[in-house]
Amino acid sequence: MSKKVLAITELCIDCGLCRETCPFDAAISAFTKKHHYEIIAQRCEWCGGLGKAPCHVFCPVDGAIVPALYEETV
Amino acid sequence: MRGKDFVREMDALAQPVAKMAAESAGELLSNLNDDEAFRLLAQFWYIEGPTIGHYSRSWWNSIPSDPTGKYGDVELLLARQLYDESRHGKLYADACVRKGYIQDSRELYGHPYSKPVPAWLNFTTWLIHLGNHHFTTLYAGEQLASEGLIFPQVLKATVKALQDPVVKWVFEAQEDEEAFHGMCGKYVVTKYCQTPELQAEAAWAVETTLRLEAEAFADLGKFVKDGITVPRPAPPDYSNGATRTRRMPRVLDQSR
Repeated sequence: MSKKVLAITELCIDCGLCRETCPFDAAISAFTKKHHYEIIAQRCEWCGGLGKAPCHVFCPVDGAIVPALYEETV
Repeated sequence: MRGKDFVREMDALAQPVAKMAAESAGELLSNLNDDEAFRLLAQFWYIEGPTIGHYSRSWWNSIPSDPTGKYGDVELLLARQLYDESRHGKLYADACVRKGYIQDSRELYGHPYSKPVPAWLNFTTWLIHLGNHHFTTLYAGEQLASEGLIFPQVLKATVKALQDPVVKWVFEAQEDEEAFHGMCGKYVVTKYCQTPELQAEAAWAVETTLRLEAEAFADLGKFVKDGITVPRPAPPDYSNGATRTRRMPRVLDQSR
């Protein structure tokens, strides 16, 4: 089963606003040496998607947060 | 003494402490279980997460305001360093979330593992206190001694010893920035710490940092492995306080 989630792209400028605004603590530091953020798909609750989800509303960069599909394995 | 020679002298002073701290970090941090890893991350989170505001408020005071831009380079370096430190605090918290130790990074504020062990707290407050001195003293004590001369070796040993990929990543992701902070210390001390008065105070700051950081790592290691801190001698007995004379309020000298 797949669910709609939000994802962070390479355009991320590492400001951290998504981390502070996400009500589910889904946006955390990316597991890379480069300091960016990523959204943990299992934790993402979509929050109404683009234009409504706080991470997207507050993100200062167009295109840094995009919709994606996550395949749930359970 | 030239600033360059002063840095060399401090480097020689710090090497034994750095070597000892790196060796003990290497021994302590191999084969950490989840509980031990959580203690390690939570304590490091304390020194860079909730204290970032204290560092900022204090450290900015050490740089004299100069409209001609005399210390512009130091200001720019400090601004970037404070940004890095705040980012490192988040890395520790996010690693705890990623590992499942906590659900929400705000949980760390009330968690017993993130309450600093005594020598760790002592070291943190010392770093905050350094902002009350001239910025060459601050840069000698914090950026040069701690981040330039000791921490890179400890960090290298830590990354080598840790096996858990998430815990390892937290420390690995900071290596370049910590090297940058260390170089800032070398640059600022070399350039601005040129007079005997400034060098005397800076040497005191370096020596104090070395002592407090060695104690902090000892306490941290004990806490990570055993969940307890290094025992210290009991405080003096003040139970017979009645014999102590009461301090009288200060009065103005009337004779003048």
